[in-house]
Amino acid sequence: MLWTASSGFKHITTSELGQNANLVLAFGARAVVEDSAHFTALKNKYPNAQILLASTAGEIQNDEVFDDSLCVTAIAFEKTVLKAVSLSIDDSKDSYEAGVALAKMLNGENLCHVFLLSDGLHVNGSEIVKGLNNNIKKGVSCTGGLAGDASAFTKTLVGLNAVPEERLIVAVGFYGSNLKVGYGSIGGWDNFGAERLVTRSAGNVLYELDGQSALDLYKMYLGEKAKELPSSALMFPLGIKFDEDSDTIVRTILSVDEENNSMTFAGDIPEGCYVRLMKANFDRLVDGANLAAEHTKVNGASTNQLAILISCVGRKLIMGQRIEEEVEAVKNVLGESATITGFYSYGEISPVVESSKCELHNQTMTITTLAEF
Amino acid sequence: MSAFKTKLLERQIRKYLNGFTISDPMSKFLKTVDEAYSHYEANWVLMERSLDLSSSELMDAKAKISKAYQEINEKNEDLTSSIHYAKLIQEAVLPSEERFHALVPNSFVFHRSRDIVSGDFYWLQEYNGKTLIAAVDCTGHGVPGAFMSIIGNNHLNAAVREVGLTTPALILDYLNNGLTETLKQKTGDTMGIKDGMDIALISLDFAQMQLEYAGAYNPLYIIRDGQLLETKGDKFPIGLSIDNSLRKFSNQEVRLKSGDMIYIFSDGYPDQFGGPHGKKFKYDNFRDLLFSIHRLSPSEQLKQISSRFQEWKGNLVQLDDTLVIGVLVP
Repeated sequence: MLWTASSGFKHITTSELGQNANLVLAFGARAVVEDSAHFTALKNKYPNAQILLASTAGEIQNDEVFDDSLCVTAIAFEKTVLKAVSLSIDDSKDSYEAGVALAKMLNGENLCHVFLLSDGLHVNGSEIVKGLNNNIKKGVSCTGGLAGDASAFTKTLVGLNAVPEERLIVAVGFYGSNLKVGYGSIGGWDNFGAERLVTRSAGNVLYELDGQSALDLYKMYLGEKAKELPSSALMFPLGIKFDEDSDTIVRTILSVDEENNSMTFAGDIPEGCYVRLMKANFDRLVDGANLAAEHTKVNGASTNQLAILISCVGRKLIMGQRIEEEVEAVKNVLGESATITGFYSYGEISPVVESSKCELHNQTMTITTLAEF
Repeated sequence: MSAFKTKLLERQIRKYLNGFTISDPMSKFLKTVDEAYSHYEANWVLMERSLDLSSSELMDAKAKISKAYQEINEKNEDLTSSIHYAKLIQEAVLPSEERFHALVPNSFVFHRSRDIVSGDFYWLQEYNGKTLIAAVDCTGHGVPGAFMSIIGNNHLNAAVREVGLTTPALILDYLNNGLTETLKQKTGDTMGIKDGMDIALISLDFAQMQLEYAGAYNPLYIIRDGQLLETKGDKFPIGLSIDNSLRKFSNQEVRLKSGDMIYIFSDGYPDQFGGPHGKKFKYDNFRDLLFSIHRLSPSEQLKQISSRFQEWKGNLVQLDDTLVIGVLVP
């Protein structure tokens, strides 16, 4: 179901789950999701469902990308039991404990997957994921993303069975042995320029690279576009390697602090790590989305699946009107029978490869597929 | 004022739609196209700018690296020149090959330093009708090894010239105490330098056809009548000792026979990596080599030992200093 200002709610599919739906995912522009009328409408339509809402930087429905809309997907799991939990976070320093608490609330017999949505600005996503990883039952996969706010980076909202609010983290646990979960997360960005040493940072706040101000470096590269910080910094995410042999993980900026001359990223930037600026290559971004979809096939079902696409706002900003190419690429791989929903986010959560722990990513197309058998 | 942000779109409209009235839906479509053009134009400018900046940053970094490389090169040249001078000093202090051949005519010395200066050295003295020869392997190589060689040489000279010792075991005991004292390698002195020497020392008395030997790890080989006789040294080094009063070197005597071929050496030759699989030469091959050449003249043996070493090592680096001394009993 899709809501737009011009058309109101409009059904995309003919099936009408109504009271049978036990999970509803609603992704929308911040102004749309914070309008309580929309939540009330959903609650009335799906009285028995756990309703998860998140503000976004763009909504995905089927193979189209929307702005200023509300994309609603209702799901009726027949054999899988769901448990939805939420908690508020006052300070991003409490992120690890929040991850621990969520794991403790969800751990239980037959837990097979966790889907998480979080505030995108007041958390350290890496720490939530770390807390979750260290405490969730072994073998349980975890995917999800951080809510967005277009390119404004002002306020992000998440809700569980209520009008969404700031500083909230929501997670759904899936229990049972009849659920196939697939996931894939690929970036497609290219490193460029010199490798730089992180010489001063604290958690996800970066001060200096090679002894020089990191913010000044970004301003130099952005030129005129520096006025559009922090969103314009999404053009040049940081590729970070935690050690010589590790894979490059991409980090995007969430905010800048002119007074402290610092930049806050969606995940940790530890001192002593090496980073490089990254730039977009359109074809590789689309190829990345295609590959992420291919990865979901490793464990996922082949037909009749729900695909939740969480892609980074940076990809949307750089690709402009070509952004739908990446969604089309996913659709081509997953096939017509897949129901696709999702949103553009401030951070994506997924394991990198099969059987690895989940990690926070930026600038990726991250796909979760769910299907009962 | 222009209706569109990009000149490209205006040019295209002028060229292809000139004179046409643009309807409202068409105008909406053209605005979308204009947005797309404008977006990609801005991205293009940004990417070009980033390319220019990163190129200039890389050029700056390259200039810094070149400067640092030049400085390192200059320092390296200074250092190398100093070490070359140290080599001259080491050569002046240690006995020359000419002196060696003058005192022991039927002999050869194969000495290959890994670096400019060496931690392996040979030592030679003649005293009271006896010729004393040592093949010494100081721990380490290069400059630290060379320092050790000077200290070792001085103590060996003092043992013979000042104290009048000619018994190899007593000379090694003297060297052991002297070296320990010099380097303050006392028990419990954790600040002391943990360096030492492996050594094979022989005393030759050709008039009496008598050989005396003492060794710290390194053995003595004598090939006689088609047989290789090995005399093993003590299993502790010079220096690095826990308690020198408990460790006395043992003296071993061998009756010589004319035609005996005597060998003393460091571990550099058998430990050298090389061959088809990059492995160590090993003691078995080393003994086979000596056995196969022992009937040749000492100068011919030297050639064979040298060429076999080079052949085995190939393009690999020399692992350690290498020393082999051979003496033919007249």
